[in-house]
Formats: sequence, C-alpha cells, structure tokens
Amino acid sequence: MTVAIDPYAEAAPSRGLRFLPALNPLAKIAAPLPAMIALVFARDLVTPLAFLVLAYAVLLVGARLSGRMLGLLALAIPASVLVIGLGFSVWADAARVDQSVAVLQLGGWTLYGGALATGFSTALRLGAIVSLALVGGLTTTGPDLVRSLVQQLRVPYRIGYTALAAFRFVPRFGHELEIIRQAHRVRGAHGGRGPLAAAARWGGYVVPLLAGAIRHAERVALAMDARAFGAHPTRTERHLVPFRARDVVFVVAFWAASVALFLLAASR
Amino acid sequence: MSRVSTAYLLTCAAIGVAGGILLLGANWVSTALFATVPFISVVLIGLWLLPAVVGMRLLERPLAALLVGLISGLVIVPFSGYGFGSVATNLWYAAFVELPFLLVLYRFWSRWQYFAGAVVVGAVYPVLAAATFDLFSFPWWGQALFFVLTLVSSIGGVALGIAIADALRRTGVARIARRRPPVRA
Repeated sequence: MTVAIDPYAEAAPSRGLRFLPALNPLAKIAAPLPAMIALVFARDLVTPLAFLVLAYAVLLVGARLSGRMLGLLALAIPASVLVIGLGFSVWADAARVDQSVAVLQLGGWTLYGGALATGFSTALRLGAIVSLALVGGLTTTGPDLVRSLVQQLRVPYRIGYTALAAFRFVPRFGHELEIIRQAHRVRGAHGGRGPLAAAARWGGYVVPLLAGAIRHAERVALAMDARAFGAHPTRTERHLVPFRARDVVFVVAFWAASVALFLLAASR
Repeated sequence: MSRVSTAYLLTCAAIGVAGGILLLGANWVSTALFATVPFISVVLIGLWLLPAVVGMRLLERPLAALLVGLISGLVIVPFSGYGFGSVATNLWYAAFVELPFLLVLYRFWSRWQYFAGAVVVGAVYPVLAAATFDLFSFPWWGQALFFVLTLVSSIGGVALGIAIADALRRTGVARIARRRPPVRA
C-alpha cells in the first residue's frame, strides 16, 4: 500500500493573515459570483485584467498555497492566457477586426492589432473568471462545501452525506481499477501496443470498474441503512461550518470592490 | 426525501465518482485543445453527458442524472483547476439529460429521449459559447464546424452512455436501486 496525499482531507486551522481557509465555503462562492457573470459580457482588455489582479491579490494574501497551487497560479494560468490569446488572434476572422495596425506578416496572411486585441480580451476574460473561481476552489475542501450546503442552504442531509461518502469512494475506486488492470494483464486481454490498443484496453476497464463500484455502493448503502441512516428528518453534525460576521464582511467587501472596478474600467 | 432509498443515492454517487475520474482527464485535454484549436475542443463535449446518461439509463429514476452530475462535479473540484466552476459545468450538462424525462413527468423512459437531450445541447451550447468565447470573431466555416462537432459529439456521448448502461444491466448490478417495471396483472 502506498500512502497518497488525500485531496479531501481536513484542512489544518489557519493563522494570521491567511483568512480564506477559515471563511464559509458559500461566502467564497457568493463573493466572486456577480463579477464572474458580469465578466462574460465584458469585451475590453482592462476590466478582465483588473479582476485577474484582484483575484490574485486575494489569493496571495489570504490563502496558504501549496507548491502545486503556486504552480497553477504562477505558470499554468499565465501560460494558458498567453496561448489562448495567441490562438484566438490567429483564428479570428481578419475581415472583421480593426486592420489599422499590422503586427506580423507571413506571405499573404497578416496578423492585425485588432485580432490580437480580440484574442487577448477573450483569453484575459477566461483567465479572470477561472482565477475568481479559484478564490473559493483552492481554499475549500469538498467535505466543507458539502457540510455548508447542508447546514446553511438546507440541502437534505441524506444527499449531503451521499456526497461525503462519494469523496471516500475515490481512493477505493483507484485501488479497484488497479486490481482490474492486473486481472486483465494476467489473462492477456487487450494486449498490444499503440494508441488503438490502449483505447481498447481502457474501454475494457469501464464496465467492470462501474459494476464493482455499484456493488460497493450497494454494500455501503446496506451498512448505512442498518445503522438507521435517514431515520429522522434532521440530524446533529460533528463538524460545524458556521456562517459568521466575517463571512458577511468578506462578501460585501468583495461585491463593493467588484462594482468599483467595473465603474473605474467603464469611466476610462 | 425520505422516499428514495439509500441504495439509489449511493449508486448515483458511485456512477458520479467514476464519471468524475473520466472527466478529469477529458477536462485537461479539452482545456489544451481549447487553447490551440478552439472549435475542435467541443469533440469531447459528449463525455460530459456520459455519466448522467449512464446513471439515468441504468436506474431510470427521477433526478438520477442531476445527482450523478452533482457528485461528478464535486469530486473533481480539487483537481480540475476550475474550482467550483466544475460543479456548475457538470450540473449544467446533466440537466440536459434530466430534462426530456422531467417534461413527461417521468412517465416513460425511452431511448429517443436521451437523443432529444443531446440535440438540445447541440443547439444551445454553441449559442451560449458564442457569447463567452466571442465565437463571432471566427470565420464562418469555423462557426459551422463548431455547431456540427457539438451535435455529433453529444449524440456520440449519449450512444456510448446507453451502451455502457445496457452492458451494466446485463451484469446484473444495481438491482436494488433500479426502477421496477410495473407488474401486469
């Protein structure tokens, strides 16, 4: 058995300025949501850039970032904005953009400044929306989100606990997949090299994996029923995820900042 | 809520988790494709319909598709790089599988309803994507390709999902949670 990092593990308590992990998950979804929706309709370069900076500032100050998260923020997002921006500029229909500035000429094909502006406004918009989603996404564990859905939004707790059980299924199914692969290899099923053989091999795992998963789920369900799960309309919680004054402050402050940024960008 | 069995809930969870693992790979491939050849990236869109179709076809119970979509979204939140956006995305596609059955108040469960949902995805998604991705800046053949690929991919995803669900049915799993056909007297 190898010990893997559990992405659904309980988060350690935060200290000092790192305020994001201690906030309610719902607050971290509600705060950036209006800005994310409004950004879909933005067509300039400045507005998405401003929100990209805002999201990065909130994350860098408020979140305790692991190496993987830092890699995502420092490399993956800037690189994808760059690639999407260039890609969309190349694909943009040259007849419909501002042709006053020619940036690059290759034979009969010209990359106009207008195409670059169109491409990068799309790329920055997507980058801004994704980084706003990461404010909550990088600082919340799945179980905490589920708990706050049950405790604040009154999602039926049987559905909430189904989701909590689902998080525990993930490592279990990984183990099961390994066993199925070994069994197939022992029997020499779907041997061979190359992408087609690999696709056939993976196709052969789907039904046994799902069948095993469903059988496991049925056993867990019987075990839960035997312990009278769902016998009462409400239940007590071991882990409380409260919605406190600081959550309200965070949401209101973020909304105010969003409005201010939109007004500033529009007044330019 | 007390009417649905725990076995139904957890079977949906199992299908959702398996679907989430599948979507994790698809998620990164489609992001990479999107960055380089934007209108080709929709060939993978059918995969987002797949878990919901498997759950719905196997169980034939109300709300199975949405529950599978919710779980598959929640499971990939730590890995997808989109944060909670993944939950919204997966619920959104699952809704198109749920809708054709909700509209007939879950009275019948035929094969064409899944394909009807796929056709609606093929019509609705490109229009919405046009607003988000500024599709109108593409040449006309790019836009047409985008439409056709979305439709072909979602129909393919539904067909694959039905095939997987029928294969699972032949293995005999999910007997507890499945809809029982009414007994004829």
